[in-house]
Order: sequence, then C-alpha cells, then structure tokens
Amino acid sequence: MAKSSAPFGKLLAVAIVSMAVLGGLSYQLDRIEVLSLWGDFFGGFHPVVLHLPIGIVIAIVGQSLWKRLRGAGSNDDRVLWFLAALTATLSYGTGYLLVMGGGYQSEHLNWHLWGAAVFTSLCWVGLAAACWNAGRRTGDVIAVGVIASVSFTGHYGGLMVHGDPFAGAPWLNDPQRFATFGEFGEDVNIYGEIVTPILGAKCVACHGPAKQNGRLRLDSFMAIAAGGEHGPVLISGDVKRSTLVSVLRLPLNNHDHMPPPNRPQIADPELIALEYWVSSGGEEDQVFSLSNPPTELAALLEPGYRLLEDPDAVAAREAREVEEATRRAENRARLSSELATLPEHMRLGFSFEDLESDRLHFSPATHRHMLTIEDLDSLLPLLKDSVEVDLSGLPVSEDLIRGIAASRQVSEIDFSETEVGNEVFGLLASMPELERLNIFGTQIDESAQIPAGGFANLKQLFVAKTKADLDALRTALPHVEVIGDLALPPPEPQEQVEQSD
Amino acid sequence: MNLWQQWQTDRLSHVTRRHFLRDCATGLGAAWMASQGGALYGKSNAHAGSPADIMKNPLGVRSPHFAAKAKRVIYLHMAGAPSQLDLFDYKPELFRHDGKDCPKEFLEGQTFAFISGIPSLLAPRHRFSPAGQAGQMVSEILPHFREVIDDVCLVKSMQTDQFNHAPAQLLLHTGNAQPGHASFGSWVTYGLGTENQNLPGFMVLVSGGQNPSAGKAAWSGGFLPSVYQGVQCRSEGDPILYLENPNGVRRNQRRMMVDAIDKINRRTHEEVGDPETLTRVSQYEMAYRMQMHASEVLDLKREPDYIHELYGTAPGQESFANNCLLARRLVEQGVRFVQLYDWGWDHHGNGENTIDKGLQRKCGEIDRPIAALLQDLKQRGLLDDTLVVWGGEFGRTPMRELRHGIVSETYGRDHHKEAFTVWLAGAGVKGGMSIGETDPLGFFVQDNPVHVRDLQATMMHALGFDSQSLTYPYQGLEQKLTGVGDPPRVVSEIFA
Repeated sequence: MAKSSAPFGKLLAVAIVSMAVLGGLSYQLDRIEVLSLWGDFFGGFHPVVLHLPIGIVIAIVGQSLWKRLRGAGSNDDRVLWFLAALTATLSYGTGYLLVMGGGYQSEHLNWHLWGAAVFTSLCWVGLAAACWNAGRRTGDVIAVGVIASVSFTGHYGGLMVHGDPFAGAPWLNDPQRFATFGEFGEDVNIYGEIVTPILGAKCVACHGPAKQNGRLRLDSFMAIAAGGEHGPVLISGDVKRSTLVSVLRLPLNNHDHMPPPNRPQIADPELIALEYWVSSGGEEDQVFSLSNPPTELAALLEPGYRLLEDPDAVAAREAREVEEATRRAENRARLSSELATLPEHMRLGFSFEDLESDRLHFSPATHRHMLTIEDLDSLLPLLKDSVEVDLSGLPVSEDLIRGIAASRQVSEIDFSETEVGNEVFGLLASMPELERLNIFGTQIDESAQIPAGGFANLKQLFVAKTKADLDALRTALPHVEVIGDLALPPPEPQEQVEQSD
Repeated sequence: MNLWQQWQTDRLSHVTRRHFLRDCATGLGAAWMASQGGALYGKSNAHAGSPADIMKNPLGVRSPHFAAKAKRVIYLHMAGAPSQLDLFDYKPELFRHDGKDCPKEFLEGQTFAFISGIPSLLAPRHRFSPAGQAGQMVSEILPHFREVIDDVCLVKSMQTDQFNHAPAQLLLHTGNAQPGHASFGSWVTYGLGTENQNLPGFMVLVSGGQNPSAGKAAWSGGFLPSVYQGVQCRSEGDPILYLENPNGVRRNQRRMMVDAIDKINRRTHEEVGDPETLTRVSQYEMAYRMQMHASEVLDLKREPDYIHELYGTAPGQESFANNCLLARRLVEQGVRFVQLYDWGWDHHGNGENTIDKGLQRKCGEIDRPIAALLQDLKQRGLLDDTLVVWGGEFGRTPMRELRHGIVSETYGRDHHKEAFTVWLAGAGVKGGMSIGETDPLGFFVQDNPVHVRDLQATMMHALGFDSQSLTYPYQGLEQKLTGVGDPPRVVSEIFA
C-alpha cells in the first residue's frame, strides 16, 4: 500500500491543524460569557444546522457499507464529505455563539464541545482523504472515528437540552420514588421537608439538573432564589407576584399554567402549603413545631400522604377511563344513528347532555304541539335510553308509561299537565334511577297511593295544582321533597305602603 | 397616446373597487374567510363546531362543554342600581356614624359620579329584620321577597370597574364598558342555540318607562352574527307587532314569498359569502314560524286567575309584573335567555328619587312579582333548570349624596363601584345563604370579592360552559364574554 503512505502524512497534518484551531477555540469556553444580540441570533440556528452533518456522515458510511456488501467499485464521496465538513463547521460555529450566551452546565458542555471539535476535525480529514484517494483502511478508520465522535457529541448535547433519556427508562422507574414525604422530626424545616419533596416530585424533572426549562432550576434554595430567564420566581411574602406559586393557580388551559397539563398536577393541599411558605417569608430556614403545626400544612402531615399516586393505580384508573370513554362514544354513535332515522319533528326533541356524553334528554320544545300518541309510542326505545324525559302537555298512553317505567336509565320524568292519573304512582314506583317526578296540574287526587317501599331514589315530587293529599304523600315518602301549591299571602293594602315612609 | 396606451388606460379604468371586492382571489369572501381564520383552523374546537359550521344552522340546539344544571336564564336587571345598603347588605355600624364625615382614608383615590367634598355617612333608611330559616337580614320593604329568601343566594361582595350607568351596564351585560361587544344572552344562544325554533333564543323585556341607559347596545350581538342579538318585546299592547298576515294574504302565499326572498338571499351569500346574509335568511324563517306560535306564548290572558293574583299582573299594561309572568311563559317554552330591565332605581335623593319613598315605591313594584316568579317556577319544577339572577349595574355609597358639595333636603346615595349585592336562585344554586362580606361601613369588599367578570364566568359555568373556551374569532383575538385578559374565577361555592 505504498499509494496510501503519501496522503497519510498529509491527512495527519490536516487533523493536527484543524484540531489546533478548534481545540484552541474550545479551551475553557465555558468560562467565557459574552452578551451579544447577533451572537444570540445566529446561535439560535444551532438546533437547525446541527442535524445536517449527522445525516450526511450517516449517508456516507451507509453508502460505502452498501457498496462493499454489493461488491461495487469504489465511490466518489468528495461532495458529501465536503458538505459534511462545511455543515459540521457551521454547527460548531453556531454552537460556539450559543455557548457564549452562557447558561449551560459546564460538565456536559465541555464534553459536548470537545466532541464537536473532534467530529468537525475528522470531517475535514475525511474530505482530505476522499480528495487524495487515501486507501480503504484509512477510510474505515475515519468512518469509525466520525460515527463515534458524533454519537459522543450528540449524547452530551441531548443531555443538556432534553435531559437524560435513561432517567425515565421503564426498568429504572421506582414506583416509590418521590411518592411520599419522609419521616418528620419534631422541628420541621418547611423548605427542606415540605417544599423540597413537592418540588422534587412535580417540578424538578424539567427544572433541575437534567433539564433547565426557562433556565430555571428548582432543586436548591439558591437556584430558586436566582430565578430563571423571566426573572425572579420567589418574592418573599407575595403569593401573587411569586411565579413559583402563581402559575400553579392558573387554569389548566392557560398557556402559563404549571405543571404542563399532561404531567402530575400539584394537589390542593400542596398548593396551600407552598403558598403558606411563600406568604410567611419563603426562607430556607423557616421551622415549625410538629406539636403545633400551621393549619395550612395539616393535610400534608397526615401519615401516608402521597405526593404522587401509585403508578399501578394510575394505570388502572386510566385504563378504566379509556374503557368508559370508548363505551360512551360507541353508545353515543348508536343513539345518534338511531336519531338520524327519525322525522324532524320527533328528532329535534332529543339532545345530548354535553359534547361527549351519551346521556340523552328529551324535551320537544319546538314540536310539542305536533307530537301524536303514536309518535310517542314509536319513540319508546329512545325514551327508555334517555336520562331526562319531558312529556309535559303531551298525549301519554298507559303503554308508554309502562315502557318508560321499565327503563333503568331515566332519572327525571315530567308528566305535568298531561292526562295521567293515580295509576302513575303504581306504574313508576319500581324505577331504580328515578329522582325527580313532575305531575304538576294532572288528574292525581287524594286517593292516590304510594306503593310501600317504592320510589327508593326519588328526591323531588311536584304535585302542585292537583288534588293530591300532600300530608299523605309526605308521610309515605319521608325522604322526598314534596312540592305542592306555592302561594304568597295576599298583598297588603296600597295605602299602608305609602304611609309607612 | 398610441393604441397600446389607450388599451391599457381603458382596461385599468374598467377595473373598479367592486371588481376587486367581488371577483379577485382576495375578495370579500376571502376577507371573510380570513376573519374566520382561527375557527376554520380549529382553534375554537373546544366548542361544538367552528363558527362556520354553526352558521349553517345558527339557532340549532347544541350541547354545552359539560353537563349543566341551568338550561335557561332569567336576568332581572334593576337599571339605575338599587341601594344594597337599604335592601340586603345590613350595616348596623352605620347607625353609630350616621351624619358623621366619611373617613378620609376611604375617599382617597375614589371617584364619584356626583359627590364632591367630604360626604357624611348615612345609616340604612329602612328597617331590616331576619328572614327565612337562615335568618338573613333583609329589608322590610321587600315583604314578599322575604318569603322566598331561602331559595336565593346573596352575593354581597360584587365589584365593578365602572361608576356610570351606561358603561357599567355594558360591562355587566357584554363584558366590556365600550359598545360593540356581544351581550350575555347572545353568547348563550351562540353556545347553546335555542330550544324552541319557533321563538327567538334571547328575548328582552323592558319596564319602568325607559330603556336602560346603555340602550339597545346592552342586548346587541356585537361581533357575533346578528342572529344572536336580543329581540325586544314591546312593553304595552301586543308584545310583538305584525304577527298577523295582512288582509287578503294567506299563509301559503306568505310561505312562497319567504321562499323567494330566501332564494335570492342564498344566491347573494354564495356570491359574497357575508354571514350576515344567512342571518337574514334565518330571521325570515323565524318570523314566519313566530306568526304561528308567538302570539299564543305572549298572550298573558291565557293564564288562570290564580296566576294573575299571584304575580299581581294586569295584561296589556307596561309593568314589571307582566314581564315576570311573560318571562316564565317564555322559559317554559324553551327560550334560553330572558332579560328584564326595570328602569328607575337611581336614587340620588333628587326630586322623587329618594332612598326613602323612591326606593320603597320601586320595591313595591318588584317585590311581589319576583317572589311570585320564584314560587311559580318552583312549583312547576322549572326552578331546578332555570337560573334567576337579580341585581343592578353597581351599588350605592354608604355616604349621603353631596351633589356639588350641597346637602339636599331628601336622602339619597351616589353610585358606588366598590361593593354591591346581587342574588342568584335556581339551577343548583344553594339557597338561604350569602357569599362575601363588606367592611363594617359597607364601603369596600372585605372578604371573597366577586368581580362582574367572575359573576359572568359563574353563570357560564352554571350553563355548562368554561367561559375561557366559549370563544369567537374577531379582530385577531379569540373573543370571550369575560374578555381576553386575566381568566375570571368561577364562584363555585354558590352551587350545591
């Protein structure tokens, strides 16, 4: 391999020169902090350009492997190597500007910088090797070096920006981690034993050693006191201006609400405790005595208080919720398709309780005067599937009442101003879910009997403008609010009002 | 000028502004699309559909964000602002200081509509005594209301930003002190549609001889499509005119006419895409259906005698009592939002407008009808899904009015934005209690302040809406009833 010996020296020269330049730049860069608007601006492009050289070197290595496997001839990678070297240098430059703005943790940053310097240098060496036709073995060495250095660099870059990916790995996830408070001694330091565990469980994942979102760390008192890129977060005694607690109070859909909506939220007792700490000084060394704790902290001092729910319980609950939501959506779709087949004057009386619910209400406000006894009988299956059924002023057949009485859903029936009579009590008494029954202005009279033990769940019974015996009903249904005729005493004579001035 | 130049000049002079608006890619339709932008890209998807979807059937029934107790609202607004200190917010401390100068620290930084100089404090001018099972202190000039006090929740810590009638009414009813914003009833019909397609979803009834100071802007649809604006009924005679066809015009002829007009309107809408054209279409349809049904609903003579006795109504005259009964008939038929305004509560102590006689006379007009309305709704089972709200646009001062520094012979109080009382009833509101507290002199709110925006958010909550998510895109903002500033607070403690 005499051919390759000549370029080797030259390649070494390229490596040494480029490393000298880049290494010189990188040396102790973490100690420099220069504020420059243009620097920040160009530095902001670092996340965009840095992915280009990664892709290009993967393409180079992948392509040469592929050709080697297929036994194809040598390939000309000069253009790709040139692009790789160029974009790697650009990434280095933009990253350099970003670092000068300061705010990154020096340990990760130094490894990232030196890795980037080696990678960029190797890219130039790779270009030189491609141009000078260095042999296959040299190429292999460079390829391995490039892949190794880019992985190393990328790992530390990622650590700084996205945090340690392994920190959340399933096999490391200790269900008890951060879940509870430790044992309390007699004198409890509020910051150390109350605030720190709460912040640790719910904030530090994104505002701590791994990630510093908003350049804010909450894992030490010094860091909290230092604040983040939007300024101080803790203003002693001022709950409203202390962002540390005020963002917790914002509604969940507010952009600034913390923690983010899909993360474990701060529970009310925890929020009250944090606010108590801030309003009573927000100092690191505040202490209270366990024998006489402030009421704001009482809930947290209960033994067994969990900061985070048991992950298994959470998973089970979420599974149940998904199952319930699916069932609801299916049922809603079924009911909707049944409704769609109805003529308009029958369909418009139905509405769903809310945007996702499968609970139907029937109240035909628009077409009440058009509905016939046959219409209503044909609606029976849907009425039985409803929750609230308003048949006020409609022609109601006994079959319809019997049908509705068989429903296990209906919780509210309005028969006001219909032709129903005393039989209605007997027919409806066994409905399991019925809570409100309105028979205002019907033919019910004093002989109406409530079957013994009937109306187990009834809460309100409206019998005004009937001849029903209110006392008898109240005796038979002691737990029900029986609402009869309501009237006001006759108005006082006008003169008296005028005189009393 | 050569031929080429002539051609160019002619061509350009034929391109008019109209051409630009109608045919260009950036025409009116596109301009409208742009104004709907947020919605078309699904920003408002917290609501049932985008505004563009809703406009296909603007008054169709829609579900709220979450299951709600309140399906309807009756809002009783006492225009002019009744004195909370002589009706609900009992401050015995004022007796001790009656006639003494108001402490300076209260007056610092305060602006009043009429008071100048140092006013003196004024004790309650009417007797209070405990009412209802809860024994809340209520003025004795509301004898009938005292009977139903266990059904209402008093909010004694209301606050507003405005101390003049019109802006304060606008702030309360449209969420903004300037005209041009959508009123509460409009938002509710936009959110829920109307249950009864034969009647408007938002109706306004006025009594007391005058419209409220804010005028019709208080029930305007603002930036919402005008199909949602309030429909005002006449106070005397027929509530709505021209419900009958003219002589010789049969109903099917009317139908043909409406169909023809609709066809023209729909064609215009296809050409220019203005949603207001669709509003026009649905208004014609609504008017046609109202011909059939409205006269029956609005006819108070159909009520039995015991009801007239209960409310103290006399059909055909303008009265608050008639409007209360009409309100019950309307909510019974599925009207979403019935807004009552009663004028004449501005008791400054000038002329007849005194805290003594004037307030007592007004209370005499509303006391029985309101108690009757609550009783009647309750016995019909309607109170559980109808939210009833009573209040003024602000409160009145604990000081006697001192207009231009001169004490008048009669007693009056000035406008006061720092504290006032409203009450709510029905739709899951806990009765027989009060929320919030003012200081011993009734000047400032001391405990649990409720801004008018919080009241709006709370009412929205009762109707099943998160007031932050019921939005309409306008002027580049997702507009909300409660404004686009800090989120309001739902006063959840008033609900059972």
